[in-house]
Amino acid sequence: MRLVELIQANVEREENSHRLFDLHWRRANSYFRGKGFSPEECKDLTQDTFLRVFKSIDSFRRDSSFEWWLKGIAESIYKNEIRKRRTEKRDGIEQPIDAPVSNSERPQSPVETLASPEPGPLEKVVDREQVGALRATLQDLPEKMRQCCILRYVEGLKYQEIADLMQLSIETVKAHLFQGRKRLATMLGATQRAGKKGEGAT
Amino acid sequence: MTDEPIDPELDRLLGLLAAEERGATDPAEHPGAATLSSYHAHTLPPDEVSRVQDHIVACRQCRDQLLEYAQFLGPASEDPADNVSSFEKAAEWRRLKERMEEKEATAPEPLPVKAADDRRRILRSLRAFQALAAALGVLAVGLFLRNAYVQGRARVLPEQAILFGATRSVQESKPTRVRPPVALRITPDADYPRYRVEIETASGQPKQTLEIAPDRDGGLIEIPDGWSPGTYKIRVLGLKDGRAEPVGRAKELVVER
Repeated sequence: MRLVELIQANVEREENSHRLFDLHWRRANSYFRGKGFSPEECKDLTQDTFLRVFKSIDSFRRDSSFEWWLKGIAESIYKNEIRKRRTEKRDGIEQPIDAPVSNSERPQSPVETLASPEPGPLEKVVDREQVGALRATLQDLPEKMRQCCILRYVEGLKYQEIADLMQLSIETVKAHLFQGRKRLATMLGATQRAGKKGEGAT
Repeated sequence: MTDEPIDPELDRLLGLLAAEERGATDPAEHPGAATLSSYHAHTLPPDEVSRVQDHIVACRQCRDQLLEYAQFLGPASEDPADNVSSFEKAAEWRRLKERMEEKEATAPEPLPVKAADDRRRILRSLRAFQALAAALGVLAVGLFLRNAYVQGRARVLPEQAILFGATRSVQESKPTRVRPPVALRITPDADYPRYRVEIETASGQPKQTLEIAPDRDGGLIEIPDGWSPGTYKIRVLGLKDGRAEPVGRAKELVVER
């Protein structure tokens, strides 16, 4: 029997609860560290998490793993904490009046506006066509390759994250991406060549 | 072989594609916690795995859940702040136990069967008391309304005046005819602070005797609905220094239906 089941069956409840706490405390604490809380705040939030775990452990139905359930509780505690802090700080964001204006907020001068790298209408049409062709080629890639390419190039995930999500080794992910890029580039070259031929014909 | 080939134009188009896809919403339906947890544990059947993978490629929310879970289960971080001694962890356990005990102490204890029965009985009697109080309240409100109605009716009673005194008039010789309910204004033509009004039936049986002070109460007396039709005699006496002196002659009052 697993620890949770023993606790639910009231078998040496306190000792088993202690074991469960020892086993998962660091995990929960790290979760809050990952969210940027101070060590003391992490301890308090971990306490709150386990307080709720032991209060509602009898209602845990074991249809998901205990760790998944524990993470769900930690997440809920985290969200509550954020909500609480937002309510406390609802009096607005303080910004010094002499703060430097960032480049992104600075209004563009007329010269900058004239020299803007914005594509023209024709370029936009061409881009739209090429993006459409790229999307179609992506759909034609083999399943795993397509999934890896979407997660990497469209969703911007890291190799390790893709490997974790798709349950692949990091090397396999890289290989899929390499092959995928090659096929996409070939398609793109072919499309561009076809486009140029079309222009030459007219 | 594992390095991605450099192609700035492809990167630019992929960037445009990513920007287009950024606004896309997640699918409406998601696999449950049990499915995602099993997917992570590699315990799902292959067709389910493929379905979940198709979903997570399109769904940011489930992707984040899985990535966060992987991180949650992953090896401990290298952050020195995460390195907690077993002594410190033991202290945390003690603190948690204390908090749990505090919570238990403040939680309301479940009542034993007898106490629960008593509580139910008390609640029942409380409910009966509440019902009784409500009934009394309704009764009180009813009485108040009736009283207000009666007073309201009295206030709007038609008035008829009977003059008592030395001045003689045509009216004096005739009986006063009234149809109850009606308010009679007794207006004695004399100078007494108070008067006694005596009303008796035709057979000489006293019907009503009351005192009035015209200066204070306007000299009104009420002939209610209950008076049976017939002829009554009204006599007014002036009260002064313990003496009662007749004021004018007795008048006849004919109560009609």
